[in-house]
Amino acid sequence: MPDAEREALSINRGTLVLASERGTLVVASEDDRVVIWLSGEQDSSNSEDLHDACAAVLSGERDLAIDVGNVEFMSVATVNVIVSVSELLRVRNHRLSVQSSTSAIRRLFDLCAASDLIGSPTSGTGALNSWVTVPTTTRESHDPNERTSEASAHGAPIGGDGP
Amino acid sequence: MNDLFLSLPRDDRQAGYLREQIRIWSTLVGLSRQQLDDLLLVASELLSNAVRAADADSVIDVCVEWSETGVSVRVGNRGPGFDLESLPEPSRTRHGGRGIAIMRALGTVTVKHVVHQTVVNVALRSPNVADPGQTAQDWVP
Repeated sequence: MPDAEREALSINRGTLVLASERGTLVVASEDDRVVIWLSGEQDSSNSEDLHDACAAVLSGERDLAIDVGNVEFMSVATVNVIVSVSELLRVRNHRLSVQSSTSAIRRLFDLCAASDLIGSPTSGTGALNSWVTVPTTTRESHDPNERTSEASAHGAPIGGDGP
Repeated sequence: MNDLFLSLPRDDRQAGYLREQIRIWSTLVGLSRQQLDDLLLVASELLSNAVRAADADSVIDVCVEWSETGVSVRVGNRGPGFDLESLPEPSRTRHGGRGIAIMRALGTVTVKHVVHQTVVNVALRSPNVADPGQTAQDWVP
Protein backbone atom coordinates (compact mmCIF):
# COMPACT_ATOMS: atom_id res chain seq x y z
CA MET A 1 0.00 0.00 0.00
CA PRO A 2 1.47 3.38 -0.94
CA ASP A 3 2.39 5.61 1.99
CA ALA A 4 -0.05 8.31 0.89
CA GLU A 5 -2.97 5.88 1.00
CA ARG A 6 -1.89 4.48 4.33
CA GLU A 7 -1.73 8.04 5.66
CA ALA A 8 -5.17 8.85 4.27
CA LEU A 9 -6.59 5.76 5.92
CA SER A 10 -5.11 6.69 9.26
CA ILE A 11 -7.11 9.91 9.17
CA ASN A 12 -10.03 7.83 10.53
CA ARG A 13 -12.72 9.09 8.16
CA GLY A 14 -11.16 7.96 4.95
CA THR A 15 -12.52 5.30 2.64
CA LEU A 16 -9.95 3.27 0.81
CA VAL A 17 -10.58 1.00 -2.16
CA LEU A 18 -7.95 -1.40 -3.40
CA ALA A 19 -8.60 -3.61 -6.40
CA SER A 20 -6.27 -6.44 -7.22
CA GLU A 21 -6.58 -8.70 -10.22
CA ARG A 22 -9.30 -10.83 -8.65
CA GLY A 23 -10.43 -9.21 -5.47
CA THR A 24 -11.37 -5.90 -3.97
CA LEU A 25 -10.76 -4.45 -0.55
CA VAL A 26 -12.68 -1.49 0.81
CA VAL A 27 -11.89 0.14 4.12
CA ALA A 28 -14.25 2.57 5.79
CA SER A 29 -13.96 4.12 9.18
CA GLU A 30 -16.82 4.51 11.59
CA ASP A 31 -17.02 6.10 15.00
CA ASP A 32 -16.19 3.08 17.06
CA ARG A 33 -14.73 0.66 14.55
CA VAL A 34 -13.23 0.16 11.15
CA VAL A 35 -14.97 -2.03 8.58
CA ILE A 36 -13.13 -3.81 5.79
CA TRP A 37 -15.23 -5.24 2.99
CA LEU A 38 -13.61 -7.96 0.96
CA SER A 39 -14.98 -9.24 -2.31
CA GLY A 40 -14.01 -11.53 -5.14
CA GLU A 41 -11.13 -13.89 -4.51
CA GLN A 42 -8.85 -13.41 -1.52
CA ASP A 43 -5.68 -15.45 -1.50
CA SER A 44 -1.91 -15.17 -1.23
CA SER A 45 -1.80 -12.90 -4.28
CA ASN A 46 -3.63 -10.11 -2.45
CA SER A 47 -3.36 -11.00 1.25
CA GLU A 48 -0.57 -8.45 1.56
CA ASP A 49 -3.12 -5.71 0.78
CA LEU A 50 -5.30 -6.95 3.62
CA HIS A 51 -2.28 -7.13 5.89
CA ASP A 52 -1.36 -3.52 5.09
CA ALA A 53 -4.91 -2.27 5.54
CA CYS A 54 -5.13 -4.03 8.90
CA ALA A 55 -1.78 -2.58 9.94
CA ALA A 56 -3.19 0.88 9.36
CA VAL A 57 -6.27 -0.06 11.39
CA LEU A 58 -4.14 -1.31 14.27
CA SER A 59 -2.72 2.14 14.78
CA GLY A 60 -6.22 3.48 15.40
CA GLU A 61 -6.98 1.46 18.55
CA ARG A 62 -10.47 0.46 17.49
CA ASP A 63 -12.43 -2.70 16.79
CA LEU A 64 -12.31 -4.15 13.32
CA ALA A 65 -15.05 -5.86 11.33
CA ILE A 66 -14.23 -7.72 8.15
CA ASP A 67 -17.23 -8.31 5.90
CA VAL A 68 -16.76 -11.30 3.64
CA GLY A 69 -20.28 -11.53 2.23
CA ASN A 70 -19.08 -10.97 -1.33
CA VAL A 71 -16.00 -13.16 -1.12
CA GLU A 72 -16.15 -15.97 -3.67
CA PHE A 73 -13.03 -17.71 -2.49
CA MET A 74 -10.72 -17.34 0.48
CA SER A 75 -7.44 -19.14 1.03
CA VAL A 76 -5.49 -19.92 4.17
CA ALA A 77 -3.16 -16.97 3.46
CA THR A 78 -6.06 -14.61 4.09
CA VAL A 79 -7.16 -16.50 7.19
CA ASN A 80 -3.60 -16.25 8.48
CA VAL A 81 -3.70 -12.47 8.18
CA ILE A 82 -7.11 -12.26 9.87
CA VAL A 83 -6.07 -14.53 12.73
CA SER A 84 -2.81 -12.69 13.38
CA VAL A 85 -4.57 -9.31 13.34
CA SER A 86 -7.22 -10.62 15.72
CA GLU A 87 -4.49 -11.64 18.15
CA LEU A 88 -2.84 -8.23 17.93
CA LEU A 89 -6.17 -6.52 18.55
CA ARG A 90 -7.00 -8.86 21.40
CA VAL A 91 -3.93 -7.90 23.41
CA ARG A 92 -4.99 -4.26 22.93
CA ASN A 93 -8.47 -5.08 24.28
CA HIS A 94 -10.08 -4.69 20.89
CA ARG A 95 -11.96 -7.17 18.79
CA LEU A 96 -11.94 -8.45 15.24
CA SER A 97 -15.04 -10.08 13.84
CA VAL A 98 -15.63 -11.70 10.47
CA GLN A 99 -19.12 -10.92 9.24
CA SER A 100 -21.62 -12.03 6.57
CA SER A 101 -19.71 -15.25 6.04
CA THR A 102 -20.85 -17.86 3.56
CA SER A 103 -21.00 -21.55 4.34
CA ALA A 104 -17.70 -22.14 2.53
CA ILE A 105 -15.95 -19.48 4.57
CA ARG A 106 -17.47 -20.68 7.84
CA ARG A 107 -16.17 -24.12 6.99
CA LEU A 108 -12.71 -22.71 6.24
CA PHE A 109 -12.61 -20.93 9.58
CA ASP A 110 -13.80 -24.10 11.30
CA LEU A 111 -10.96 -26.03 9.66
CA CYS A 112 -8.53 -23.33 10.80
CA ALA A 113 -9.89 -23.51 14.37
CA ALA A 114 -10.80 -19.85 14.06
CA SER A 115 -14.59 -20.04 13.98
CA ASP A 116 -14.77 -17.89 17.11
CA LEU A 117 -13.95 -14.93 14.86
CA ILE A 118 -17.15 -15.41 12.89
CA GLY A 119 -19.67 -12.80 13.97
CA SER A 120 -23.08 -11.61 13.00
CA PRO A 121 -23.74 -9.86 9.67
CA THR A 122 -22.82 -6.21 9.31
CA SER A 123 -26.42 -5.11 9.55
CA GLY A 124 -25.60 -2.06 11.58
CA THR A 125 -26.50 1.34 10.27
CA GLY A 126 -23.06 2.78 9.71
CA ALA A 127 -21.55 -0.23 8.04
CA LEU A 128 -24.13 -0.65 5.32
CA ASN A 129 -24.43 3.05 4.72
CA SER A 130 -20.74 3.15 3.94
CA TRP A 131 -21.30 0.97 0.89
CA VAL A 132 -22.49 3.96 -1.10
CA THR A 133 -18.87 4.98 -1.46
CA VAL A 134 -18.01 1.81 -3.34
CA PRO A 135 -18.21 1.73 -7.15
CA THR A 136 -21.44 -0.09 -7.96
CA THR A 137 -19.86 -2.21 -10.68
CA THR A 138 -17.66 -3.89 -8.10
CA ARG A 139 -20.39 -4.21 -5.53
CA GLU A 140 -23.17 -5.71 -7.59
CA SER A 141 -21.47 -8.26 -9.79
CA HIS A 142 -21.69 -11.94 -8.84
CA ASP A 143 -20.06 -13.17 -12.02
CA PRO A 144 -16.36 -13.93 -11.36
CA ASN A 145 -15.42 -13.26 -14.98
CA GLU A 146 -17.33 -10.03 -15.09
CA ARG A 147 -15.75 -8.90 -11.84
CA THR A 148 -12.27 -9.68 -13.10
CA SER A 149 -12.65 -7.52 -16.14
CA GLU A 150 -14.06 -4.68 -14.09
CA ALA A 151 -11.27 -4.85 -11.55
CA SER A 152 -8.69 -4.88 -14.29
CA ALA A 153 -10.31 -1.91 -15.93
CA HIS A 154 -10.02 0.07 -12.73
CA GLY A 155 -6.39 -0.83 -12.32
CA ALA A 156 -4.72 -1.43 -8.99
CA PRO A 157 -4.59 0.19 -6.61
CA ILE A 158 -7.53 2.53 -6.97
CA GLY A 159 -9.24 4.75 -4.50
CA GLY A 160 -11.49 7.67 -3.82
CA ASP A 161 -13.59 7.52 -6.97
CA GLY A 162 -16.84 6.51 -5.31
CA PRO A 163 -19.91 8.70 -5.36
CA MET B 1 -11.33 -37.50 -20.31
CA ASN B 2 -12.19 -36.83 -16.67
CA ASP B 3 -8.85 -35.29 -15.79
CA LEU B 4 -7.63 -31.72 -15.87
CA PHE B 5 -3.94 -31.08 -16.61
CA LEU B 6 -2.24 -27.72 -16.33
CA SER B 7 1.37 -26.55 -16.39
CA LEU B 8 1.61 -23.20 -14.67
CA PRO B 9 4.37 -20.64 -14.21
CA ARG B 10 5.75 -20.26 -10.70
CA ASP B 11 3.55 -17.34 -9.73
CA ASP B 12 1.08 -16.87 -6.88
CA ARG B 13 -1.37 -15.20 -9.21
CA GLN B 14 -1.79 -18.45 -11.12
CA ALA B 15 -3.99 -19.75 -8.31
CA GLY B 16 -6.85 -17.64 -9.62
CA TYR B 17 -6.44 -19.07 -13.10
CA LEU B 18 -6.29 -22.57 -11.66
CA ARG B 19 -9.57 -22.01 -9.82
CA GLU B 20 -11.19 -20.72 -13.01
CA GLN B 21 -10.17 -23.86 -14.86
CA ILE B 22 -11.33 -26.10 -12.02
CA ARG B 23 -14.74 -24.42 -11.94
CA ILE B 24 -15.16 -24.99 -15.67
CA TRP B 25 -13.95 -28.58 -15.39
CA SER B 26 -16.21 -29.26 -12.42
CA THR B 27 -19.31 -28.50 -14.48
CA LEU B 28 -18.32 -31.32 -16.81
CA VAL B 29 -18.00 -33.94 -14.09
CA GLY B 30 -20.83 -32.65 -11.88
CA LEU B 31 -19.23 -32.03 -8.52
CA SER B 32 -21.38 -31.08 -5.57
CA ARG B 33 -20.93 -27.62 -4.14
CA GLN B 34 -18.99 -28.89 -1.16
CA GLN B 35 -16.77 -31.06 -3.34
CA LEU B 36 -15.97 -28.03 -5.46
CA ASP B 37 -15.34 -25.81 -2.42
CA ASP B 38 -12.97 -28.40 -0.97
CA LEU B 39 -11.23 -28.94 -4.28
CA LEU B 40 -10.71 -25.21 -4.85
CA LEU B 41 -9.29 -24.80 -1.38
CA VAL B 42 -6.95 -27.78 -1.55
CA ALA B 43 -5.75 -27.01 -5.09
CA SER B 44 -5.04 -23.40 -4.14
CA GLU B 45 -3.09 -24.42 -1.04
CA LEU B 46 -1.11 -27.00 -2.98
CA LEU B 47 -0.24 -24.49 -5.67
CA SER B 48 0.67 -21.83 -3.11
CA ASN B 49 3.00 -24.27 -1.35
CA ALA B 50 4.53 -25.34 -4.64
CA VAL B 51 5.14 -21.72 -5.69
CA ARG B 52 7.07 -21.16 -2.45
CA ALA B 53 9.07 -24.36 -2.79
CA ALA B 54 9.73 -24.53 -6.51
CA ASP B 55 12.97 -23.59 -8.16
CA ALA B 56 13.01 -20.19 -9.83
CA ASP B 57 11.70 -20.15 -13.41
CA SER B 58 10.33 -23.67 -13.09
CA VAL B 59 6.82 -24.72 -13.96
CA ILE B 60 4.30 -26.35 -11.68
CA ASP B 61 2.26 -29.26 -12.94
CA VAL B 62 -1.28 -29.70 -11.70
CA CYS B 63 -3.53 -32.67 -12.32
CA VAL B 64 -7.10 -32.92 -11.07
CA GLU B 65 -8.63 -36.36 -11.42
CA TRP B 66 -12.21 -37.47 -11.08
CA SER B 67 -13.40 -41.01 -10.84
CA GLU B 68 -16.37 -42.87 -9.44
CA THR B 69 -14.53 -43.12 -6.15
CA GLY B 70 -13.78 -39.43 -5.74
CA VAL B 71 -11.63 -36.46 -6.66
CA SER B 72 -7.92 -36.03 -6.21
CA VAL B 73 -5.52 -33.24 -7.02
CA ARG B 74 -1.81 -33.66 -7.61
CA VAL B 75 0.76 -30.88 -7.80
CA GLY B 76 4.36 -31.38 -8.81
CA ASN B 77 7.24 -28.94 -8.77
CA ARG B 78 10.98 -28.91 -9.19
CA GLY B 79 12.60 -28.09 -5.89
CA PRO B 80 13.35 -29.36 -2.43
CA GLY B 81 10.72 -31.52 -0.88
CA PHE B 82 9.48 -31.61 2.69
CA ASP B 83 8.63 -34.16 5.32
CA LEU B 84 4.95 -34.20 6.17
CA GLU B 85 5.62 -35.43 9.69
CA SER B 86 8.08 -32.63 10.47
CA LEU B 87 5.65 -29.80 9.74
CA PRO B 88 4.55 -27.78 12.78
CA GLU B 89 1.04 -28.02 14.10
CA PRO B 90 -0.80 -24.77 13.41
CA SER B 91 -1.57 -22.54 16.36
CA ARG B 92 -3.16 -19.17 16.96
CA THR B 93 0.22 -17.45 16.98
CA ARG B 94 2.00 -19.44 14.27
CA HIS B 95 0.86 -19.67 10.68
CA GLY B 96 3.01 -22.54 9.50
CA GLY B 97 1.25 -25.79 8.82
CA ARG B 98 -2.31 -24.50 8.64
CA GLY B 99 -2.65 -25.28 4.95
CA ILE B 100 -1.37 -28.82 5.32
CA ALA B 101 -3.62 -29.32 8.35
CA ILE B 102 -6.61 -28.37 6.22
CA MET B 103 -5.56 -30.74 3.46
CA ARG B 104 -5.30 -33.53 5.99
CA ALA B 105 -8.73 -32.69 7.31
CA LEU B 106 -10.23 -32.82 3.83
CA GLY B 107 -8.39 -35.76 2.37
CA THR B 108 -5.46 -38.14 2.35
CA VAL B 109 -2.15 -36.42 1.69
CA THR B 110 0.84 -38.19 0.19
CA VAL B 111 4.20 -36.72 -0.77
CA LYS B 112 6.62 -38.31 -3.23
CA HIS B 113 10.08 -37.18 -4.21
CA VAL B 114 11.21 -38.28 -7.63
CA VAL B 115 14.52 -36.95 -9.00
CA HIS B 116 14.40 -33.24 -8.17
CA GLN B 117 10.62 -33.32 -8.33
CA THR B 118 8.25 -33.12 -5.38
CA VAL B 119 4.73 -34.39 -6.00
CA VAL B 120 1.98 -33.87 -3.45
CA ASN B 121 -1.30 -35.67 -3.93
CA VAL B 122 -4.51 -35.09 -2.00
CA ALA B 123 -7.34 -37.56 -2.43
CA LEU B 124 -10.39 -35.71 -1.20
CA ARG B 125 -12.83 -37.34 1.15
CA SER B 126 -16.04 -36.72 -0.72
CA PRO B 127 -19.30 -38.41 -1.44
CA ASN B 128 -19.20 -40.50 -4.59
CA VAL B 129 -22.31 -39.00 -6.01
CA ALA B 130 -22.99 -35.33 -6.44
CA ASP B 131 -26.02 -33.96 -4.64
CA PRO B 132 -28.87 -33.63 -7.13
CA GLY B 133 -29.59 -30.03 -7.93
CA GLN B 134 -26.45 -28.75 -6.26
CA THR B 135 -23.71 -28.92 -8.83
CA ALA B 136 -20.85 -26.60 -9.53
CA GLN B 137 -23.10 -24.58 -11.80
CA ASP B 138 -25.03 -23.62 -8.70
CA TRP B 139 -21.92 -22.41 -6.96
CA VAL B 140 -22.59 -19.03 -5.46
CA PRO B 141 -20.98 -17.32 -2.49
